[in-house]
Amino acid sequence: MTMTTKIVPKGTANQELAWVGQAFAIPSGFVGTMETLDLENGTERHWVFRLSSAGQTLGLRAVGQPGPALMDRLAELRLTEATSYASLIAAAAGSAVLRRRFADLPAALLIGAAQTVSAVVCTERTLWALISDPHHPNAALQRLFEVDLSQPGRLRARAMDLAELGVGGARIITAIARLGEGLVVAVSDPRRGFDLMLHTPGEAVPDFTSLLTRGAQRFAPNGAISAIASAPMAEGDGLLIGTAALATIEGSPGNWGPELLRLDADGGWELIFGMPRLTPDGLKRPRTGKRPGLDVPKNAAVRAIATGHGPKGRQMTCVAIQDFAGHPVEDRRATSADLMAYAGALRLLASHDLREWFEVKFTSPTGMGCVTCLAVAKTGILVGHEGTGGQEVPSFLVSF
Amino acid sequence: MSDMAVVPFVASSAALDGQPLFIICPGRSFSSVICAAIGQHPRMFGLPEVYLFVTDTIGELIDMDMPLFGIPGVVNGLKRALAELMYGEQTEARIDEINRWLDERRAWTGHRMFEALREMAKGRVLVDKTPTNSRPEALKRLHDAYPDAFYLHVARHPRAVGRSRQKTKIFERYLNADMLEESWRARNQELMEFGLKLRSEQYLYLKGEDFFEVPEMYLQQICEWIGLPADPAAIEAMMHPETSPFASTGPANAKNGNNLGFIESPELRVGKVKEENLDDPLDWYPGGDVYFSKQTRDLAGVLGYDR
Repeated sequence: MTMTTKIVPKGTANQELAWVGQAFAIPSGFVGTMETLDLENGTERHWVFRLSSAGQTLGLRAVGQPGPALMDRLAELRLTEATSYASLIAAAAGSAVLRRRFADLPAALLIGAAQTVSAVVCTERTLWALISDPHHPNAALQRLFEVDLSQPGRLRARAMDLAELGVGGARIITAIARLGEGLVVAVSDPRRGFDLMLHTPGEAVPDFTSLLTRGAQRFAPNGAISAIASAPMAEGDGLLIGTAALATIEGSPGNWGPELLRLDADGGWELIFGMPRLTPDGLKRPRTGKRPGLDVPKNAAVRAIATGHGPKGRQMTCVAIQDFAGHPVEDRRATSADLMAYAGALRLLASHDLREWFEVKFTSPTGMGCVTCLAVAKTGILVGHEGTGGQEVPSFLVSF
Repeated sequence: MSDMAVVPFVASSAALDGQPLFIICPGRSFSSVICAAIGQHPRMFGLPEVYLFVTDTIGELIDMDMPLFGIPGVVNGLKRALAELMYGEQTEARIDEINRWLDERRAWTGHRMFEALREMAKGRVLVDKTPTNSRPEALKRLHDAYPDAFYLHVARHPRAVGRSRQKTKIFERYLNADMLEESWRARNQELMEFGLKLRSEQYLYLKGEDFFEVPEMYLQQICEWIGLPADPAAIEAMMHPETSPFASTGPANAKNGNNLGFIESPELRVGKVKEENLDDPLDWYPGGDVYFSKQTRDLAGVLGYDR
């Protein structure tokens, strides 16, 4: 059974595009962030919400607006039990939080409404913010900032040199993530395959070193990384990486289907599902024995990945995979700029050990766009997505 | 109470021990030297071009071995392989015996003959790189006969393949310039689609140019894939395809039976292969105003050729 979480944000209008930014399971339910975009006047608003473990609304507040201090609002919502507190705050309020907390940031960071903070990654000492419009990614408009948090009184920020990443044209930053104390940056490349680069703060130039290149040696079929999440603790530190089939899709992606990889903190990697292959890093065979898309031909993109404690407290990894829903395009370079076209039928796959997977059956809500995030809890899987209408937080709970 | 329906995905685990390895690729894609190298593993046996999945019977294959209207020497690889496995030598006298032996088995299918070769190889994994195996009808025969075999898809840059094929007698007799690019694309596309029919543990893709840069690394991985030891002695043996029993011309009554370019220069030339590009005009058209199609460029990207 599917439970749709109905929340009516006060002050939202009907002509709004809304999407859940991040969602986290906490012992008593879920907390998350939402952004809305008024399609008539372009106004963006940022929200935080809290749900009970049964998916009932406990709170929804706009942030970055005049009124009580942000921290007070969060305390009011009792959000402090979230373990990813720092990133939640940063992502929730986007540029508004950055303005508030880091007033001495360069003006370049405070780009207008057309360019928003699309991702924020924090460690104890460093914050990174990727600035771009998630609905119209354009390499020329992307900025990546590094903020040194080690001296709170003297915050220092700098724009990172994206030329080092080869960003430009069809090469676009599609995701960032934390790996240890470093930052991992995913750059799409529909011709050669994605690149995954590591930046370690304080190390000498160059800023970035290569972790994976040429789509992890799968070449063009691994054109973009579309989702990254921390790997389960049982697997050690690391990341789970999901890809998208950047293809001229007519029929089904088939051989172009997405992969799921696990990256270790030391740079080693393995295939969870995907195309077995010979690589400079050794023979890679999928842990599942399954090829791209878990052998389901229509699966086109891994849209979101989450790990957490599922039923009976068992570690669970959940992956959201969607079909391609856009028009077939002549030149697949055009598709990397619009991963939002991967908004078709949704399948949820889950595993306790990354080897044996099962599909979680449910009924999708109508009008659902791209899945934007997942959160795994004992009671179920929260699916955050894009939506229109502005009368609901675009999310639903698949209960166990 | 749970309202979550689950549909399990179960990992396949069929054993492939001892299954043959078929190298599938368009012609002129390094398959001869790669086959000979792999076949030098002490527990493998690299065949010459045996053409066992081209015809329904061995008799039909023998009948193809005729001048003018046939393919002269098409059975020579098979004869040499049989002589080597049955007698441990390839002499004119042994080939005469093989001719009689083969004539008594004209009704055999290619599959039955391949099974006979496997038996003679005494547990060694056979490696077959016959170029016609990559044609759709031969692929079907192969798959029908060996649904659990290993299949290694090897590719080479389309410009290098086209240029190489342009120099062959087959091109002079049967092909035109349009077919060079088209055959590269069609064959590789078919091979990729064929790979999708197989279980994930059965099919691997190898970009030929990468192999020559660090052959030891890829040979080790191929051993791991097949399930054979990759000890230093085995890898060292594999680095010497020129020691293959089929790296030389062969006896007068069964000459060649393998790629002539390989026979002329069978050593493994380790190093970076000359870089090609997808952008320049196609070498095999006069005028210099014909380029690779978008479809070819797209497929090239899938196979790791982005320039």
